[in-house]
Amino acid sequence: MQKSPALNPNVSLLEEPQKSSTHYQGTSTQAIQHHYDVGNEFYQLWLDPTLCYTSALWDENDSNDSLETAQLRKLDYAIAQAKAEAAESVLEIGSGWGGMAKRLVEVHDVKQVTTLTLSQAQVEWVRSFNNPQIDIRLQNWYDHDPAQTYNAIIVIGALEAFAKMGLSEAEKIGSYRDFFEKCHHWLKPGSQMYLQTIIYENATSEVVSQFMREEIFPESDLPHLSDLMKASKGLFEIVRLRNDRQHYERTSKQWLKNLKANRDKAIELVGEKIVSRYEKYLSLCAIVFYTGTSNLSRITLRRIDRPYFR
Amino acid sequence: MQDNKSKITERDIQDWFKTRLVELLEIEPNDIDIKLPFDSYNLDSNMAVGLTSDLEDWLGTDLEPTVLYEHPTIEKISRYLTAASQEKE
Repeated sequence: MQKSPALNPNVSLLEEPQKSSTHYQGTSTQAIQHHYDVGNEFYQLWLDPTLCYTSALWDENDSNDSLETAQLRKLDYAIAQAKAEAAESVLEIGSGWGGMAKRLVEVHDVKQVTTLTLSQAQVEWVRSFNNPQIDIRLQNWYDHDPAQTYNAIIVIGALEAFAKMGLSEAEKIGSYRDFFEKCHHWLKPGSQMYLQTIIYENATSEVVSQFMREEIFPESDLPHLSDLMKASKGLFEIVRLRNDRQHYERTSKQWLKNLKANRDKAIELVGEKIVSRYEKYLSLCAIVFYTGTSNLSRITLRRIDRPYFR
Repeated sequence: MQDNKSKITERDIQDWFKTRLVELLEIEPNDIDIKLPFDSYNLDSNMAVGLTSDLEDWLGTDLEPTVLYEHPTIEKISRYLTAASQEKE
């Protein structure tokens, strides 16, 4: 794939953040597998049938809204925001268990989905669909080098692993900048990208508990919304932004209820220690979204085809 | 709330919290005021999760993980839990 002039490494788009190939390139495969490769059967016990493991999009006026309905609504919202309907090719970063990829090809007439994950368990799961329209790869976003550009990019619940604790603000923004530059490079002119991520709201990384840092998401850190604004400046215009922390609080609570309802089966599968760890983790998630320590951002971005800052 | 211990009173719940906070935070009983917010005792979210879990075990019922934030004093949580229990009867 040809480099666009905007991504020529000799051309500085912005004075800051600094463009560098030495930026952090995301959480290691080992760290991702620590969390996601507990076992597919375990996650099936408490996620909904779509196996979406990120915040749903709830109907706020319907207290009886089901988790599955809310997850499908989330998928459809993301697809609409990325303008991925009936697209020739879509890139998804963060495959999960293939819920988005399936929705794209089975319901929204997308011809080809390329989806990246660092979880071997997820690769095997999605490959079991035997769907030639879904190309799942065990690959870091940083190493992705497609032969063709895409019509749309969807990133849900992956950006949380693009930085790690201990990086300076400039280093974090540098990593996010690398990501946005690559997305700009991978997208066709006039295309859109949808990004859903947890962010720090009324907090910084210093308040993240040792438990979350070491036992749940090792090597991961969250952005502030302003980090993403700076990192995408001149590459993407923000078309729409929703901050939906209450949706993640409700999702976390529903997952916790499901896990508790299936506790005995879960202990049989992974042991009591891991089940207790997940119960604590889901409880903490509900609390951080309730209190506003963290937020959930849903961001629609349109590619700037002729960057002013070039 | 699915209550299995209908005889527990508001005062019982207050006493339970006082005892647990003294143990957990290593403070004096006299330092506890039922009208003070939990965060004024430096009760962090990890402690809140543990306390809620212990409370669930003691009451024999499932609680929302945010219950201590939604009812953030001993007085308020005790009143809420008692009322919820009575609604179930």
